[in-house]
Amino acid sequence: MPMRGENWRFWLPVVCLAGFAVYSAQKLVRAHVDPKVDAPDYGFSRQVLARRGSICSSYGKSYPFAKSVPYWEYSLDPVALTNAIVRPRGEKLPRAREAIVKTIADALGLEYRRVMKMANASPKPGWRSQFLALSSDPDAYRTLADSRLVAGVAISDKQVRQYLHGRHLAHVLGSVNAEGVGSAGIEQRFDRDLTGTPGTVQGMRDARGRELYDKRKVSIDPIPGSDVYLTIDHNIQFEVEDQLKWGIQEFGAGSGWCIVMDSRTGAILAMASLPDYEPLSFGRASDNAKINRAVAFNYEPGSVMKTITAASAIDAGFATPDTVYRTNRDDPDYYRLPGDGSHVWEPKMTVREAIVHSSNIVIGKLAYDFGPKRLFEYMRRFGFGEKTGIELPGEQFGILPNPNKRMWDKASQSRAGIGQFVAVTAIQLCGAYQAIANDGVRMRPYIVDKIVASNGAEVFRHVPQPAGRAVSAKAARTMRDVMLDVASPKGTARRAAIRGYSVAGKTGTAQKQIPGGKGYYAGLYRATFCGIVPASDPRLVVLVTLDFDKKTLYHQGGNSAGPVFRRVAKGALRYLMIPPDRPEELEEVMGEDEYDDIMDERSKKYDTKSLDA
Amino acid sequence: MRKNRRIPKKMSVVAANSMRFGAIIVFFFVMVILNLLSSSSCTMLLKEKGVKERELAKLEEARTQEATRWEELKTPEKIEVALLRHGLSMKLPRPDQCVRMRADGTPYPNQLSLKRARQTEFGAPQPASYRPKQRAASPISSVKVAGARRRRVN
Repeated sequence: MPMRGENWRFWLPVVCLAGFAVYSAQKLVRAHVDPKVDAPDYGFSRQVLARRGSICSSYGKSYPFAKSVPYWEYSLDPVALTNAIVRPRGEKLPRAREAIVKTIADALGLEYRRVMKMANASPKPGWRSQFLALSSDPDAYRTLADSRLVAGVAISDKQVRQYLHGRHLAHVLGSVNAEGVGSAGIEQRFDRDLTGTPGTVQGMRDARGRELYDKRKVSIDPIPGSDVYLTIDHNIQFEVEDQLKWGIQEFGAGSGWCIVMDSRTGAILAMASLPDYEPLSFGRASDNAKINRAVAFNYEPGSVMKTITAASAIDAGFATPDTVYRTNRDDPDYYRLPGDGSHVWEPKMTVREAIVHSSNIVIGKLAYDFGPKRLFEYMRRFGFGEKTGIELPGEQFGILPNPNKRMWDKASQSRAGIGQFVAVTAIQLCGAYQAIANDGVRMRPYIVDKIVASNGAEVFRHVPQPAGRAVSAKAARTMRDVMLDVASPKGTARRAAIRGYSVAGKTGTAQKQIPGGKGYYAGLYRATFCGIVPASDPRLVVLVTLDFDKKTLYHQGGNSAGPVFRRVAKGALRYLMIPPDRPEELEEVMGEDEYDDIMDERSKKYDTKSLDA
Repeated sequence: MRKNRRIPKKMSVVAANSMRFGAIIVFFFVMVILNLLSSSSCTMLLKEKGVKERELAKLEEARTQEATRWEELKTPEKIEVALLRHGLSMKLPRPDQCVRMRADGTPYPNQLSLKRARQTEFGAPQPASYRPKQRAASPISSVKVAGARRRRVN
C-alpha cells in the first residue's frame, strides 16, 4: 500500500519519539542495574560529627571541666601534592612545590624541613596520607582549603577533647581515647550519655569537590551529647589539690588523697588523688598515677577505725564514753592485744581518753569484748565491705571478712577494732564519718548532680538518698563529742585544730602491709585524718591520707595529715561562708594567723619572675 | 468539482488538529520556561543556603573556640596567676576588720573589730600590739574574703 503524504508526516515524529523513549528506557535500566557504567560518580555520603557533651562544675555550664572543641585535622598526600598544578589567580605560572610546602608549614606552624620530608616520602601501600597537624586556627583552614594556594592537603573535621583545668580533677574526669571513647573516670562511666548521635549528609559534588546543595538528598542533623554536671566545686577542688600537694612535699609522702564531702547530702565537693596525670596523655601515664586512690584503693585504715568501734559499742549500749579499761597489754582475759606507743602512759583509761590518745590496747579490748559478729554487723552498717555506689568506675569493695564464715581468729577481734585486719577505701571511710556527722544516717555518696540533654531537658537528677542508719542519733552525737578533744592540745591532732571552729576528728597512723600477708613494713605508714567541721552543726567531712614510701619524721596522722586537713577545711569553711561556731577563739587572733604561712608559701611558689617568663 | 469539494474538508481537519497541537506545544513550552525559572531560582536559593550553612558552621566553631578560651581563663589557677601578675594586693581581712554577727543581726560580744571601732571613735590611738604583717600579693586572699564567695568572673 503506497504511503500517503499525511501518514508519513504523522508517523515520523511518532517513530522518533518512540525511539527516544526506548533509548531513555534502556539508559534508565542500565543506570539502575549498574549505576557506575556511565558518568563518574559525584555522589557522596558524609557523617557529621556530634559534639561530645561537656563535664561541668556545680557552678553550671559556664564552668566546664572537660569540653569538646571543633578542630581540623590536616594530612598530607605527597602524590597529590606532586601531581597537582596550583596556579594562583592572575598568575600564568604554577606555584613551585617548595612554595606550596612552605605555605603549608607556615599555616600550621610546622618546620619546613619536616613537611618537606613528608612531601618527599614514598607513599605506603594502601595509605599514602600522612598526619600533619590538628589545628583550630580559622586562618590556617582558609589558607589550606584554597586550591589556588596549596594542593595535597586533606582536611577532616575533628572534635578534640579539652580539659580546661589541666591536671586538676584528672582522676574524676578520666580521659577519652583517640576514637573519642571514654576510657576512665566520668568519661568512661557516662560515655553513653556524653556521646551524641552523628548526623548524615548525602548528595552530589561538582568536579572540584564542592557540594552541590541543590542535589542534596539526605540531611540529618547530629544530636549533641548530654552535659554531665558534677557536685564538685572547682574552687574547693583547686584548694584541696594545692594543699594536698603541699602536704606531700612538706612531709615527704609518696602519694596522698583527699575527699571533701557535704555531711548532709553525701555530695562530693572535692576529690583529689596524687600522683595524677595529664588527661590528654592518659595512655602515657604510669599505672601508679592512673589509680584513683580515693575510690579504687583498699588499705588498712588504722586508728581512724577506732571511732567506728567506739560508736558501735556506744550505740549497742555495750559501753559509754566513761567506761574504764586498764591499759596493760598482758591481760590474760584477752588474746594477743596490739601494743601502744609511748603516748599512752596512764594505767587506766576511759573510752573517751582512748579515742583522744588513740590507745590501741583499750579499743582493742573494747572490740574484743564487743564481739566479732556485732562489730562486723556495725561495720556493714557503716558501709564497709561493699561499694558505696559512687558514680566512678573501678570502685573497690574493701576487705571485710565475715566472722559467720569463721574468717576471724581471736587476734583479729581486737585488731579489727583498731583498723587492722580490715581494708577500706577512702570513700567508705569518709561515708562512715559522714554517718556520724549526720546523726547516724549514712547518705549514699554521689558526684554527679544532674545530666542535661542538648535540648535542655534534664535526663537525670540526683536526689540525696539515705543508705541506712548506722547508729542512733544519740550515739552519733556522743561520738562527735568524744572526738572533739582529738583536735585539741591534749589530743593526737592538735595541728588539725581550726581557730573559731570545733573539729571532731580522728587520726590514723597505719603500718603498711607487705604484699602477700607477710606482715608490715618497719617504719612505713599511711597517715590519715578524718574530721567533721563544725562539730556543733556538721557541714563538711574532710578525709586526708598521706602514703609514705620512706621513713620520715612526721609520719603520724596528727602531724602530717592533720595540718593538711586544717588548711583544706579552713579554706572550704571560709569559702562556703560557714560561720564559726567558736567565735570567741577568734578574738585571740592578732597578726599571727595561720593564713600568714599559707600566703608566704604561695608567694614563694608563684614567683613573679617565672610568671613573666 | 470533486477536487474542489474535498479540499476544504481536509483543510478544516488539519487546521483543527494543528490548533490543538500548537496549544499543547505552547503549553509545554510555557511549562518548560516556568520550570527553568523556578529551578534556577531554587538552585540560587539552595546555593545561598549552602553558603549560609557553611558560614553558620564556621561561626558556631568560632563561638565554641572563643567560649572555651574564655572558660580556660576563668579557672581558679589562671585567676590566681593573673592576680599575681597584675600585682593585685588582695588579702584576707584582718580580725579587726571583721564583725561577726549572730543570726538575729546582733554582733558577737568582745570582738576585736568592735573594740577597735570604739577606740577610733573616741580618738584613742591604735594599740601598738597589733602589727599586720607585710605580705606579698597573695591569690588566696583575693578569693577568700570573709563573708563573700570566691570571686567569679563572668
